[in-house]
Amino acid sequence: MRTPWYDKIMSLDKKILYVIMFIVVMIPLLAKWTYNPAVMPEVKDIYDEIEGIYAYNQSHPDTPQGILVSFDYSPSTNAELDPMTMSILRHAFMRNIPVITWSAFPDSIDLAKTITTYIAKEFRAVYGQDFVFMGYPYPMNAAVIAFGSDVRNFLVKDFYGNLSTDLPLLNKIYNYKSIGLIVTVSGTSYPRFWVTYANTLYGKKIATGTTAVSAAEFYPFLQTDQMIGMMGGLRGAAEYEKLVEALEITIIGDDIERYLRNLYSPEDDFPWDTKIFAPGFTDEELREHLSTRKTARTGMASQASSHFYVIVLIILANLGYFFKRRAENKR
Amino acid sequence: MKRTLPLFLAFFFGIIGIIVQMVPALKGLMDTMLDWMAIIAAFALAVGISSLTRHHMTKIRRKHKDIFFSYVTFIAMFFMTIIGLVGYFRPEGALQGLFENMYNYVRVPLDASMFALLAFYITSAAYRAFRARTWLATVLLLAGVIVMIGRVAFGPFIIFNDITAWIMKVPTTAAMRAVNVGIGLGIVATSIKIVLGIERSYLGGGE
Repeated sequence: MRTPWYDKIMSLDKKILYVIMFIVVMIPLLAKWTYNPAVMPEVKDIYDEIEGIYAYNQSHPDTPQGILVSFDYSPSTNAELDPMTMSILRHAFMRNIPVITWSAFPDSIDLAKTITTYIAKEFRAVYGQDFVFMGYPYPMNAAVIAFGSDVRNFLVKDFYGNLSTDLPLLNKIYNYKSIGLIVTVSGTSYPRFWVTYANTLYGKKIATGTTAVSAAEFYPFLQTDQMIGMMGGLRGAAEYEKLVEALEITIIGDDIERYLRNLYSPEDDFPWDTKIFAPGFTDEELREHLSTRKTARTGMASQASSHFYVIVLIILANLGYFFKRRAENKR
Repeated sequence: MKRTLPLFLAFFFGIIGIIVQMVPALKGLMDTMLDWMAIIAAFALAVGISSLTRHHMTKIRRKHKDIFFSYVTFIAMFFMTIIGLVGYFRPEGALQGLFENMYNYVRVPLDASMFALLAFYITSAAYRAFRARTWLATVLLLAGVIVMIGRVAFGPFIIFNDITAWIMKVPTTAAMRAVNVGIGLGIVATSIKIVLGIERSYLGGGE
């Protein structure tokens, strides 16, 4: 007796499903398709907040506001979250906003350090003056509370072993009063923790970047204004990337490659510290820096095709289920 | 004494912790408490390492069937610790580069691969379990499909973008708020029980 078509569909080998999924994910990546997302209000709000800090700093050059970017994720979620931190840092450095970064997990110290210096290098940001990296503040909740009074008492040294009191940036920005925005990028419930301490205790503005699966958890905080904005999943990252790209074109122009190539010259007076980053870009580095400007949008093309593939599978499986049940009822 | 002292400390610092948050004049005391917190937390790290080492040593001694993984744990833990520490104090040496390479080209791809496998599991799960068996399951299925399209909407599908935004901002937020209120009440209740010495499971062992 021949097996009915619905039984065949319902018992499809999962190896076949996996292989098709692999192909569906790979084709847009290899073809370098990009996705052009509509920007959602919760993402635009973060962008506007940083622009607001820039405007404030323009009118108050002696008492500037900075942003604190907390890398609250480990490498497992970096595909979704790295583009967010990169775009936020690009935006801040482009607007000369002082940046403090740290990592909430020991296994993301290198990741946070690499991304911070990687983006700082694109804008000739000087370590200690324009940005600092505080490493892994342990325990994290104590560090978050310490920022309420003077973080230099708790984090006596930065990641590189410099005394916090020796860093010009930390002498201006050492507590929440001079932090305009906290950006927590996380694949866990960490943003909730920032709301509890930094927002509830000190009234600080919090923005979050989170994985798509965690996004639902934080919508209530947006509604109550305990968070000013959210980048949800790769889609949120793609939206922010698009906003930053538009700003970059306005400020730098559309030939980013030429801008980066001419950024450093051997005879300029940039205060080099090769421990932080080496000046100049090789051709390979240039290509990489250009491609990271659309990582999220390239990834979204892949995600779009995989979503549509899963939807087709759901429809197929449900058709099979429906016809099988009908056949059983007839019998 | 072994139980009374920790209970007393939990009570004392629990109450002080609440007071310092409410009395601005005690800011100095709060900073001191934060410093102590960092010192105590550092001990937790030492306890964690010793506990992990003991656990795997026991497995190796008893020739457990998964003994291979205990060796892998030891090699990875001590190798990374040693090259990380030496590299930190001698950043110009080769070990710092080795540490960074191990992190960037072993740890990061391994972690990312584990997460990437989700795509395949979800494919299989969606195909086998996402069925319109009841009307509630049908609602869930429709909402899931709409959100999946909405998250990647383009061209003719752009309407799903707005529907997805509504689903996330209204029903999802309502449900998550209920969950959050529950979590909040649970945290408050547990904290009070710990401070008052009613909840003692953190002391370890049985009665």
